Amino acid sequence: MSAFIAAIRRQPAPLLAGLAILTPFLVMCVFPGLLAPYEPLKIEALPLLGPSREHLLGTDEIGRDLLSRCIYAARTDIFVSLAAAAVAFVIGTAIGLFSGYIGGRVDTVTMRLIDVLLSFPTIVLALFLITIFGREQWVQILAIGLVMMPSTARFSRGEGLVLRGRGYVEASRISGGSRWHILVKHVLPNSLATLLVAASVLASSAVLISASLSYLGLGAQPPEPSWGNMLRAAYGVVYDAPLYGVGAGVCISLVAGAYILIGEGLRRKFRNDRNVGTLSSSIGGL
Amino acid sequence: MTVDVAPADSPHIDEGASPRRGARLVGVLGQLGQLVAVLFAVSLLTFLLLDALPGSAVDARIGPLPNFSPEERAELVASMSKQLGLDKPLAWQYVIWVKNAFTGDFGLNYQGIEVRDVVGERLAPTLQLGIASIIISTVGALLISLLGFRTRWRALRAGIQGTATVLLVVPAFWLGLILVIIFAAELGWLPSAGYVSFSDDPGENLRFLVLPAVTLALPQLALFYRYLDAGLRDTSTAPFVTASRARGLSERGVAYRHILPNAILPTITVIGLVAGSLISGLVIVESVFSWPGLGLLLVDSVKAKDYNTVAAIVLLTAFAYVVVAFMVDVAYRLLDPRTRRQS
Repeated sequence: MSAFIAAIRRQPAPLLAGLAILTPFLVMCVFPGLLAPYEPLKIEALPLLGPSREHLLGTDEIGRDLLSRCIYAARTDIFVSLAAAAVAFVIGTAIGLFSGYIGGRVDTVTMRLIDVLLSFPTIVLALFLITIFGREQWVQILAIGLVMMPSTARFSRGEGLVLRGRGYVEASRISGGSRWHILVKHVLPNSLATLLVAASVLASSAVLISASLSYLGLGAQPPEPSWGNMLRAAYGVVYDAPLYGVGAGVCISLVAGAYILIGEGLRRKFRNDRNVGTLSSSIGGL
Repeated sequence: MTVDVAPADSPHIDEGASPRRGARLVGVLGQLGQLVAVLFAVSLLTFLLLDALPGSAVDARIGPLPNFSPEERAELVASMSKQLGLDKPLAWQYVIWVKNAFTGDFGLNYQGIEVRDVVGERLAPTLQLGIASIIISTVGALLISLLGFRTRWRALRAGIQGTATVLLVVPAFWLGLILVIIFAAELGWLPSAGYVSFSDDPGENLRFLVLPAVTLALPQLALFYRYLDAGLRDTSTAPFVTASRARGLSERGVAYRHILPNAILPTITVIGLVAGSLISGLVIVESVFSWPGLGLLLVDSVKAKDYNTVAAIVLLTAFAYVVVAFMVDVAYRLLDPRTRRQS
């Protein structure tokens, strides 16, 4: 046990802080009923009550408990953002590592295509995809994933290029390792540390983009709660209940911030192995 | 938008791997031809996505047209199909579409109004808001980073850095709400949303502009600050700075004459790229403050499934990005003699 605690204490502070913030949200995401004091869709009290002991964040425009709605919203928000980040990560790193490792003409063509995708402003491309393919949740996940994919590909391509020149890769090539073998057994495992840092930044951007979409009314549809659509509702009642949106807003920032902290923590953890760029090198704003 | 900057320690990565988009677009492969190629690919992709519409593309793209009788609409669909060359191969349809797009003809929106006119009247409000935010964020970031750099109070500097980091995880619609709660709901100084055109009433126009412009500017400011701050700190340890101190220049002179000009360079790229993809922020901020610009039009058109308008805005904003990125790269070359020597 003490060895376990010692192992935890050796981890970088941002990593621990990020995990500490994220864990309650993951619990909310999987077991919202455990933490929520009320039902998210049931009318419990008078509308637009301020914070009180019964309703810690107050009630919404028809008297549903805001805290419970914030907690249930984690289910949609965290699921969509993690799924989208996973889409971007898997496709992006596959393209990037392959292109960087192979190099040559394949690489040039792939990167030109990535440049074209990068020319579309993030939200605009996501909105375009949603217009054409519909508003279902899976479309949203793919749309957010696809708009974040090009920067991931760009980033992991750099990794592929760097690793291509490493001694162990050359050794494997000389001893007859196939391209596929080298990519899966040598390039992927050795770039994983760096890519994990990028993945946590991706997750952070995904939270912000998916909240933006549901703020715009294109994500989870009412009455289903999401942090974005709660903030939208907050604007309508800002003169009557100024604190309405604070809970949802804080949730978005905490989750997005937790991912960035985890990324920064991982970066510090892996820094001894190899330099993996700075926080700002992989950060994506909206 | 996403801004990538090369990791400081990447000697293995060749020129082509530098993730500065502007530099990649032009610096590596060189010329205007590259710009044209990207524009071509962007328009092709937009066209292909539009073509992926379920059902008859024209039927979907024309929309319900409330002012038209069913017969008139059917007639319009038929004539549009012919005009767009839907009986011809896909490549030919693309040529027609691009030719029309270049002459500003994006067809009719779902209400039967020319997309060109609808988009045109949104340009002025969008440009006003966008330019105002870039001015605020650039000037603000410059002043604040110099303050943080030159101050002796560590607490002040840490406070600025902390705020800049926090702003990166506060989305615009949440930041806007905070500002509206404080300045509109509580203090009552500024209107919470709306728009008055400058020609109608300049004073009111500016009053309505303040909150959206600041909401749009603050995250940019935080981003610019982070680059400027890093630039200032990196540059301050450079040998030429030590040399100018050794020549007896005042700290002030060193900071403004030698450190600042060199530290600003990387930030110029970031400012340019942010300016080029301003639409991402405008989409949210214009929705928050009911500012009648392109961003709000885009959101409304997406909801109404107004394909022609959405496609026009997508193409326009992607073009704007590519052209601005190109101009930034040119500006960078003019400002930094080292890049000229390399190429």
